[in-house]
Amino acid sequence: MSTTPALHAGRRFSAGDRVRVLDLAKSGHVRTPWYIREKVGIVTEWTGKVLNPEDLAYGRCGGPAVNGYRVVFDQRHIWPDYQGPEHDKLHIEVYEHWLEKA
Amino acid sequence: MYANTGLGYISPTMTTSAPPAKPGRCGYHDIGGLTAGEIDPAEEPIEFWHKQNEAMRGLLGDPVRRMVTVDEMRRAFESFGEDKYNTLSFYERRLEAMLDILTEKGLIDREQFMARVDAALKQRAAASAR
Repeated sequence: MSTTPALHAGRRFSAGDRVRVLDLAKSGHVRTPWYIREKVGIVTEWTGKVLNPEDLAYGRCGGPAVNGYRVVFDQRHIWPDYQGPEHDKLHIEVYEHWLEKA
Repeated sequence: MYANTGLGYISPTMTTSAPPAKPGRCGYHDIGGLTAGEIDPAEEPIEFWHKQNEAMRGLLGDPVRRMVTVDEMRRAFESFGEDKYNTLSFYERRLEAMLDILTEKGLIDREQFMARVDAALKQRAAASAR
């Protein structure tokens, strides 16, 4: 039994989950680069709960805080013409609302 | 279409053939992985006003004032439009974005501000002519 259930409460994903990055039509300041949208990766860890930069960009600093995850992708999945070794990976942090289970 | 923005980075292990299709719904600043031509490794000399600019940003964005946050500045320069974004230098972009946010919040009037800048420049020119 976990000794820190509160820390995990409300998290939609855990390490090992396969996730797809959404292609949200969100204007303003976003932190999800174009090249990972609609790509499928694996969650490696939870990176914490922070105020959403998409809100902070408009001066809204009252929250809610959002969960972030580190997600790993195969470089060859992201770049069809990738010339590096097959095992090369991209590790990138993505906010929870940009992810769905794959 | 995405070539020579002067801002891009391309991994040496990737080819320089056409990049994968970039979706229409992302900003012009979102250029990771796109072909960008040669990178000029020359350092931009740091000028005193660059430091003043960053010092002011630090004060305006501190936890007490919260007048201009880094995220707001990013949103501002990501809505300059591609030409303006690519014409300005790093520090010019940050200064312009800071002025945009202060103007948006009604904390400064851009015309009054520019008038004061002009007056200060004239005063300085007159002082150095003496």
